[in-house]
Amino acid sequence: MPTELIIRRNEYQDSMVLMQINHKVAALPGVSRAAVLMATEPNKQILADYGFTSPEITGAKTSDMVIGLETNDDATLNEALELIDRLLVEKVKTRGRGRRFATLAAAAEAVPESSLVLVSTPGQFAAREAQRAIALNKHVFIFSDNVPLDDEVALKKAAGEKGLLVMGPDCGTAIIDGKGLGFANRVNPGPVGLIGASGSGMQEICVLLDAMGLGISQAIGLGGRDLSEPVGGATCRRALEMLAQDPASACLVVVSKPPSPKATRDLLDWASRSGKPVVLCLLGLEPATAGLELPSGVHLAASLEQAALMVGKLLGKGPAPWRREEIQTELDRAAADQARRLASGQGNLRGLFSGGSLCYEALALLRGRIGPLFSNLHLDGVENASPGQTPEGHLLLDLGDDEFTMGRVHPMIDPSAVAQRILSEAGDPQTAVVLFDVVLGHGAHPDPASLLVPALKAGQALAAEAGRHLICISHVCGTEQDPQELARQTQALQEAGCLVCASNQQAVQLAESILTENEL
Amino acid sequence: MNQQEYSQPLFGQPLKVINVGLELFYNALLAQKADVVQVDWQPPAAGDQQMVGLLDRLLD
Repeated sequence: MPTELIIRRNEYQDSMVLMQINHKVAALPGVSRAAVLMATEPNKQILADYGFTSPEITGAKTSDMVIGLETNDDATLNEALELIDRLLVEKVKTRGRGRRFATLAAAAEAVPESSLVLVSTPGQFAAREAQRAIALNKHVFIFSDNVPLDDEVALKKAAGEKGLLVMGPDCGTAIIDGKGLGFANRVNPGPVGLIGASGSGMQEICVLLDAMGLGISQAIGLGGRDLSEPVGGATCRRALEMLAQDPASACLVVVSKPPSPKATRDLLDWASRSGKPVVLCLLGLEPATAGLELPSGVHLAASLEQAALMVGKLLGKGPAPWRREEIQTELDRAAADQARRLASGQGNLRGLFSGGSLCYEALALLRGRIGPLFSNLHLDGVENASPGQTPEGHLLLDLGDDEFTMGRVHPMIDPSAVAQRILSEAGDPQTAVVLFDVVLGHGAHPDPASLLVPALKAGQALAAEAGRHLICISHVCGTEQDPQELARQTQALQEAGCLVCASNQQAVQLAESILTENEL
Repeated sequence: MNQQEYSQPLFGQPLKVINVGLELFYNALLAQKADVVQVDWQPPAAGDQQMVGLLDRLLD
């Protein structure tokens, strides 16, 4: 089995481009192992995990490209190398037409009126670029993760002194003056100002509000650590101040996992000072048991859907179209009908999520109601699931989490990981329900249904051959204006036998009703 | 309420972005007809971390 290890010095390509190339090369018949990566420290570990180690790799720099290939024969090896070169050239040829610069400094000099820098470099270099941006008086959106905490604290302090906003690090979503940054749905402008530490949480609220005819003024991402003790909610505080002063924002929403008690107190304080109604959605926090004293004008929602409904009520819009009686009745009827077709022994839920916050919310909604619950996410009442382990109970996975995306593209961009998982879970005789999200919008896959439908059909056929019935429930998180076309995605999934819900909570409740009806 | 004036207003005016990194985000902004330019980011000092530190101290 010929193995080739090539180091191309000073040939940098971004990680997304390389992963797509990696995917295509690995799919060539006769290729048993393929890795095309830049030689960053995390990637050297991935290469080692794939079985590619050598002193050359150890000594390679972050600007060096590493190509590792193991194939059946030399002819395939050559084919693979040719494919890599062809794809690299294609990438250059199909690049977006527009102005390109070698450095941030050069771009800032050419476009001095630019207001924001979007940073998505490897994590070890992100703070440096963000620092430069702040020095140039630009606001920053940092998509990169693995940025040292100390750097985040320093960046937000420097930005704060200049009245600049730092969204992130590890920030996936924002909408500023109608333009989506990172992964964001296409929405109308409107009176709701959104702030979120949870990307998919923000996306869910945006699409639900859109369905109720409410638009977004601004959606500000905080990044995963902003509301932690060391960072102290620096961006959250500034975002609330900015939205308080923004005439286009009439009602504000903050979505996050529950922060520490101190951060929660601060959040309530800042929210009350905004002078506008604020809906807080602290995923997993039950308002009834939280024991929080809410200042006037501040409301606590138990879920993302509830947050959207509360906003609707505050702004005189509603009810939720996706909960219209005829829609809900039909979903319930179809679910009960499918539940009757389950074989004995089928009792498990398999939740497959590309939106981390949607998975988190699902767990929060289900705990104490069905069990036992397993996940790669951590919540009280949920047990930890190690990769490759088949737990005795219900499993809900965030497939966008680091352990699943090492060397792979995020499932929002490429849902084939979700499709593969649907098929493998369908083969488990105890699986009753497969529940998954489909997140649309900018940055996401152009046609997720095209990848998911074949897996759904194959999974259902696999179950049917063995005398079982596979129930598929999907939540499509999207708007009519999204490039993937919400109606078309929904229809394709329904035609494949999937029960499709417009909210995460609706999908989770449907799954729960099936499982509790069929208590085995 | 802090009435600090922002050195650079962010809201209420057309967003002008400099994208440093993934083509994916540059393309997404182009698709929205946003005002965006792309920085073809490369690791500085050919990826030599030590050199990066030295250069930064010289230039800043």
